[in-house]
Amino acid sequence: MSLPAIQITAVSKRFKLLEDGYAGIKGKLGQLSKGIKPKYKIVSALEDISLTIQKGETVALLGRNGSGKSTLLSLIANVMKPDSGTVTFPASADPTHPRLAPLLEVGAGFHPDLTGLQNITFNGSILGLSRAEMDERRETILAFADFAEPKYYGMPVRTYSSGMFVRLGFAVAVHTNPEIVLVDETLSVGDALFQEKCLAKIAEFQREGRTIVVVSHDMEAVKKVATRAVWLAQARVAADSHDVNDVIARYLDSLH
Amino acid sequence: MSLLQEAREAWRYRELLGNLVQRELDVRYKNSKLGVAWSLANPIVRALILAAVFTYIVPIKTSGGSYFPFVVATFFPWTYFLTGILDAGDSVSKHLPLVRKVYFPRELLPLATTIANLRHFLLTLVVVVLPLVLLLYVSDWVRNGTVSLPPAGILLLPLLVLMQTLLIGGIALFLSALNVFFEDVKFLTAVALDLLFYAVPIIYFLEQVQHAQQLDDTLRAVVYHGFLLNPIVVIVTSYRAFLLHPVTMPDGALGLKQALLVNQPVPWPYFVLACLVCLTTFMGGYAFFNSRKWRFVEQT
Repeated sequence: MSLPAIQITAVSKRFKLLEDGYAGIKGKLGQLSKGIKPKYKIVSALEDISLTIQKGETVALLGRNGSGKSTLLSLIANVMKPDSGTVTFPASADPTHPRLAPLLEVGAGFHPDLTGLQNITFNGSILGLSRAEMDERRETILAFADFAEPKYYGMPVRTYSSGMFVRLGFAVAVHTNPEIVLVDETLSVGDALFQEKCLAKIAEFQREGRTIVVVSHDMEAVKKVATRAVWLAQARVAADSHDVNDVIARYLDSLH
Repeated sequence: MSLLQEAREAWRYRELLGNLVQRELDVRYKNSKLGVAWSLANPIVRALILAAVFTYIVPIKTSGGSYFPFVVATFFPWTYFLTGILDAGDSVSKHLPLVRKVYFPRELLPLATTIANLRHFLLTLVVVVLPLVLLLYVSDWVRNGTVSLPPAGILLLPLLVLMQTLLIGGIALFLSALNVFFEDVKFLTAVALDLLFYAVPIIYFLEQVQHAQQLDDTLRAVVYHGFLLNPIVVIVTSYRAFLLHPVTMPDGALGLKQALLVNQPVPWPYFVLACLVCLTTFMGGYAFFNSRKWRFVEQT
């Protein structure tokens, strides 16, 4: 068997939340003057999670709000470090930094005052595209974003409709030749035509054998794309199966 | 990870660093018709105002002519310091949405702000400060018939720029990390810098501190050496001393009771010390940043 795409081993993550009072210097001074110690609440987001995701799988993470889905996605995206345990990518050339395309709130890096073109160049570079690769793909990206009038690319992004904004962000992210694609509710944005295009792109990723991790509350979409479902409840894995419909059914049952 | 490993990881992302710098400069002049021309217009206008003030309103004369070049030689390095630190404060905070979603070495954000300001300063140096100084030497030559060369220290100018950039970068790393957790930091910095302006010899000379008659001998020595321990004082004073020769301020000018030879280079042990402080500040700031950078996204 080939190396797994994502290897999550005994990962735990806790957050320290301030229970009362202000954060910041003012809060610290206030606490000092009143002689009270700040009260913290330890919230456990993930407890001893182990998951092995093979290359080419499309894994859907299910669970209620606060069950740790987004934390797990952040750990895979390498924007957060686990308190204990490891996340590695054995199948990648660089097992600590795979080529990731986070389709999470696409357009997060867009600057409203810069033009569409300036923004896609920058976003591409932050997702790991070199200047040469960007020059090569610019046309394809612009074509994928499907703007009615090409003159829009030279206009500041703040003049865009929210649909145009998302389309452009999504277009950059999917053209970075990712090994692993992370999707967080992006399936539900844009108009019907664009959604169709997104699903088609995901299907194309699946055919090309890329690994996809999806977080979504849209069960119909999950049924359509996922090859495996992982249900997280209270910071632990409650179910993990290739029988996606079964996991969804059990998850939905638990809600009532 | 050690500092060196972190630095190597950041180096892998140098192309992104270049793009971040470019973006910073694009954003600065985004909506203006004049665009990049503003980056030149700004220092030129400032230099003109300084020239007008110190020629017509406060017409101070030195043995070497007008007082105005001595202010220009310190004012623009100070501006680099000021904007470098003010801009860096929220360089991470304002990019948090991006930091929460995508991995890249976080230190690129304050470093890009620092480099963008460095580029701006170099432009000012080449287009405004150096031509003014050159003009000064040429007009001297025309008037006196003898050519006088700038001090040999001018060759150390690149070292000075490097020192200052390390100092600004170190403080930027420190403040930008702190500002994610305490948003008051940016405002406190602005106040601190306002006060610092008067504690750095920009509109006066370091020699005036050394010979301040209002202070008794012990206090004067303490204050003077305290000034010299501040790397910004050493840097700003050195820009002036490297570009312009020492001159005599006549008594009466700047409130002096007797004539005073001003604009001498700082004692070299203090210069070496300042070099070390700049380097240490950068490494310390980087170490602090690294110790905090994984907690940026956990901030709610």
